[in-house]
Formats: sequence, structure tokens, C-alpha cells
Amino acid sequence: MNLTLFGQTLVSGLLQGGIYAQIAMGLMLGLGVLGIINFAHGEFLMIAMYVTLIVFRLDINPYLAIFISFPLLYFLGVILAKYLIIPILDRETMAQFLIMIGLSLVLMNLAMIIFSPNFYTVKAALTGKTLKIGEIIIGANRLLGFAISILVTGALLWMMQKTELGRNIRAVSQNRYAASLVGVNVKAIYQIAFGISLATLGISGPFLTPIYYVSPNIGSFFILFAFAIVIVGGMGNFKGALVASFLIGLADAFGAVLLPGSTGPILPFIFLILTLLFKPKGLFGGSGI
Amino acid sequence: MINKNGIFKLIILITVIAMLGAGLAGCAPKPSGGADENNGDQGEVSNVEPVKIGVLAPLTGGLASIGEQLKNGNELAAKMINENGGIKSLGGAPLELIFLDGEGRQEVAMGEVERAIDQEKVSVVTGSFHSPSAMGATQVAERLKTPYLIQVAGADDITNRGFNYVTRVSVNLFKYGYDAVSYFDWLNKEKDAGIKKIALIFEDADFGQSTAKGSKEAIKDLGFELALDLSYPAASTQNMTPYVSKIKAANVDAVIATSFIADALLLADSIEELGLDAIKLGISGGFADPLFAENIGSKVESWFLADNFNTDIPGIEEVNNKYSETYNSKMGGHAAHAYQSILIIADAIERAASRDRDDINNALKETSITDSSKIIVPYKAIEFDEKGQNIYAEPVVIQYQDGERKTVFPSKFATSEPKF
Repeated sequence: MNLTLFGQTLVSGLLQGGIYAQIAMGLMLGLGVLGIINFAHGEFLMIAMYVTLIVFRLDINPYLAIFISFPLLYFLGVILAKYLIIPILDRETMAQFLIMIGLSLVLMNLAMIIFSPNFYTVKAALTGKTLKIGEIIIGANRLLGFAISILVTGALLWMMQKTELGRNIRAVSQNRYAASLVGVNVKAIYQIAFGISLATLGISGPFLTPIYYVSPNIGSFFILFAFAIVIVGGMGNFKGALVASFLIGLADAFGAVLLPGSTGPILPFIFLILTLLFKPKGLFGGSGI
Repeated sequence: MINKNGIFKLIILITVIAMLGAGLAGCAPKPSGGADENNGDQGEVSNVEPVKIGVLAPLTGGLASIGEQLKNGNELAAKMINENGGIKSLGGAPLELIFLDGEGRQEVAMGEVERAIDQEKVSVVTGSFHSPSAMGATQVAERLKTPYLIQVAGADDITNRGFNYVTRVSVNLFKYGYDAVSYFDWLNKEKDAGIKKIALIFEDADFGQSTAKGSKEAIKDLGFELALDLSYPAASTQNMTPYVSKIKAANVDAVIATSFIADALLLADSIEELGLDAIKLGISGGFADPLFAENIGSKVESWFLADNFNTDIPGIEEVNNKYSETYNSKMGGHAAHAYQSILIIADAIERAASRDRDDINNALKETSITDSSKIIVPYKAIEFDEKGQNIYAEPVVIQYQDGERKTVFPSKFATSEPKF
């Protein structure tokens, strides 16, 4: 492996990790606060991506789709939390499982009916533009997606640590009965937290769409990695998840280059299994939120 | 709460997701109603008892858009034959197509084919481009001693299992892979392309593995150097950049890729992004999909695409026009092979002068269509070898030039020169 290939793989892995991070963050917020496994998380990203596609087809800069997808997904989250998630919070885990899987299938099939199973790509201003550092080439779209990811993650961290809302969310996550005793409106917090969890996808969607493509099952491509990141980083540990995203992204990239045949993508999951074996609470410890 | 219940559920969940992912391809709802509703206009009805033909195609589910093209091709051919007096040796018996919705799922396809043979009493079955469905369906046909003419499905094993009742019109995957390299050999000899080192990149399921096997054999036979042999799992690969970096670092002269549409798009993007300087050829699948060109835009012109059909092939204008008139869409490879298959079956029934499955099977196997006016696919002739594979089925190499899909190889079908 020469230096250029190493550098290129490193950059590619880091960029990919950043992209995974923004998807994992929202997932973790929903998981940590409501304690529900949102199987449909990827499908909400798909919705944001279709919004971007529609905006693009209307001859508007696809990045501007964020002004629609962000509020849309937030409200979708609030409404879903109110009418679907909160009512099932006290049910058995298996019932929650089935409802969330069902939601995921419904959304995917709706997309198939509305938009056909076809694949669509979106061209943005940066499509095809690259940045060259020595021999290493960076796609401008990916770099932007990466930057947005870091911003989203940073904003989420700041909100959780420094704002009243963040403190309330953490309180509910730690002990919802105690939180309600001291006057926190638990149901409202649930709705807001789930809304934010989906809204992060509303931010990601417009920036990820030009890098990938849109199809009804695009969500399932991301979700497996997002879950792996949540486990490796430690439940509820936002900083841990950020680091884990980079580790998983790097493992994915180096696996592809170093391992023979099509065994490359095994590497991130070997990583996942080792984490479960030796640090079952995640590399950085699960703190709750 | 998940924090308290521990991490075990997450493991279950991941397993569930992985399993879900495998089964999601064909999950669209199926409309109610039987096969009869699918039978469209097949021309005039005569008094003679029709010859029933089962046509397997995914008419619902994720593959339905391709299934629709397949259906159209079959239907158009049957209509033309019926309008021209049906099967003359059977007193003008018309062809009656029974469409079988396989949904792109093997078990459904097998059930439908069994039903068609047992209950609908079809004389012959044809159809399918989805290899897993075709593998299962031919197994049913073999067991029930019913001839099955494969229209498009490419898996090598369909004709490699020693079945007596299976024939295939189109190119098999091994041949696709092999001929991709033959094309480079031709480029070297005729166009001084100077290709020596070749990289293969393919999705790691049967599709990619089979074409790669063909390419590797040709690389050995024709004296090229296999510089890289890369495969990736299509379902879990979202980042093609590392693979392309590796190809770039290997300094190859040419790349042969076998991908589905999603990974083909990602691969082409990464190649563009990293500025890989090599001759690129994409085999069928995602690359032959019109969506590839549509989504990639003008950079598609830097790709060679191996496919089993192109609309610029001489002598197909009439069928092509008729198709566009009837269905308001362009005829593609699937429709063309479907159309061709019905012609082949009609020819076999005509010669067999019988509705009996064994008689038709024997006649099918002795097919020899050399009259180019009866061939709308880019094959010199149609004859089956002892395994049932059409001996003359060869891929054509296509290049988009000034927005047009031009055939550049083999020379006898070429309408333009390759640009690289």
C-alpha cells in the first residue's frame, strides 16, 4: 500500500464516517430518550431525500430543500411521537419492534407506490467538483456532507449539555418519573426529542442526496451502520458515537482496500463484535443521555 | 428502556434488520385477481383451440417495471402471429398467453409455473429475467416435463444442470464476462488501444461472480494481465471510493465492472471523482439500465456498456415502431428477447404440429433460425447447444455518443466507431 492509496483511503473513511455520524446521532437521541428502537429511522432519511429530489426537479437548488425537510421531519417526529410512539411506550418490547418495523415497511412501500422503485440522482452545484491535496482527491459534495455532519453533531451536543431543553431531555432519559415530579412535562419532552431526532435527518437529507441516489430502500443502506455506531460508541454517548462513526467509516474503507475478495465490509462488523465481547457498554461507556 | 434492558436486544435487532434487508426487494402489494386480468389484447380469436403458453414475469413488486416490458414483448409477438393466421400446422390455432406473476420471488415463480402446467395445461412456459426465479421455475418445468424457454435470465447454472426441457435465447453471464475481454482484444488489434492490465470489480453475488469467471478465463486465454480482482457486497457497500482508489493505485489500462444499478451509480461517481484514467466497461445489469445513463449524465459517454440488445440494430425498425406505437415506450432488451422467444416458440410449434409438450420440446431443441428477418436480437442465428443455450447469443458493446446509444461492437452490428 503506497502513501497515496493510504491517504486516499484515510480521507475517504473519515468522510464516510462523518456521514454515518449524522444518521447515528438522531437515532441515538430517539433510542436514549424514548427507549424505542426506531427501525424506520432510515426511512425518514429517505423522506428527506425525496423532498430534496422534488425540490431539485422544480429547478431549485437542492440544498435549499433543507428549509422544507427540516421542519417537515421535525413535525412528523412530533406527531408520530404523540400518536404512535408514546401510546406504545409501555408495551412489550416485541410489540414495539413489530410496530416500528411495520412503520418502516409502510413508508418504504408508500415511496415505492408514489415514486416507483426507480433510482434517481440529484445534481448539486458541487457535483463533480473536487479538491486536491497533493495526490489525494476529495469530492466537494462529500466534504460538504461531512462538514454539515460535524455541525449537526456539535449543535446536538451543545443543546444537550448547555440548554434548558437539553437538561430536560437528559432528565427524562435518566428517570422519567423523577423528572415529572420536578415539573418536567415528560410527554412534551418525548415529542420534542423525537422531533429533533428526525429533524437531524431533515438536515442531512439535502446534503446526502447529491452524494448518493434516492430510492425507496436507500434508508436500509445506512441504518445497519448507524446501529453499529450506537453500539460501538456506547449507548447515549454522543461524543463516543462521533468517534465510533469515524472508526466504523475507517474500518469500512480500509477493509475494502486491505482485505481480499469481498470480505472488506466485514471489518466494521468484526469491530462491532469485538466491542460487544470486550466492552459491551461501548468503547466509551454508555452514560445514558 | 433500552439502556436498562441491555444490549442484547440490539443484537437481535441487527439480525432482524439484516434479514429484512434480504427480503425487501419484492415487497410491494400485489393487486387482487388472477392471471386472467393480466391477459391483454392478443389479436383476433379463431374457432380453433388455442395453444397455451405460460409467460413468467414479475408483474408486481420491485421488479415490476421490467416485468411490464417483458409482458409487452410477449404480447406484441403473440398478437402479430395470431393476426397472421396463428399456427398453420394446427389449423390456424392462435397462441394464448397465460401471464404468471412471479413477483421477482423464487417461491412465487415456482408456484405460478406449477399452477400453469397443472391447471392451465400450458404446452410450454417461457419468460423471466430474474435468475433466481428462472432457476426455480425451470426446476418445476423439468420435473413436470414441460419445455421452458428462458428469455433473458443470465445465470450460467440455468443451462448447466443437465436439464432436458430448458432452452435459453439470450446471453449467459459467463459469455458476458468473456466477451468483455474479447472486446478489449479487438480494441487492441483494430484500434491500438494498448490494453494490458485489466482490473475486475464486481458485486459478489451470482451475477458478478459468474461474469468475473468468464472475464478471468478470457484474460488467461487472450494473454492479458489480471491486475486486480475486486468484489464487494452490493447490499452493504455505500462507499466505492476505497475500491476506486485501489484500482487507481494499480495503474490499470482497463476496468470491467459488473454491478446492479445503485452500486453502478456509486462506482461511476467515484471513478469520476478520483479521475481514474482507464477504459471502462460495464456489464449488463445496472449499466444497461436506462437509469444509469439518465442519472450519470454526459459522463456516461466515457463508458462502454455490454448488453444483449440495442435499438440501432439493423432490421428491427418495423417491430420497434410497432412496439412504440402500441406501448408508447421504447423497446428494450427485455421486450426484444420476449418478442423473439414467442417467435421461436411459434416456429417450434409450427414444426412440431402438435400441442404435446414433448413434441414441442424436441422441436424447440432442433430450432435453427437463420433468416435475419425473423431475428430482432443481435444474434447471427438461433440454435441451441446440447445444454439448451443459444450458440449465437453474444453481447453487443454500446457507447453513448452525442446522447445516442450506439452499437460499437461486434462489427457486424456496429453503427459507430468506439471512442476512448
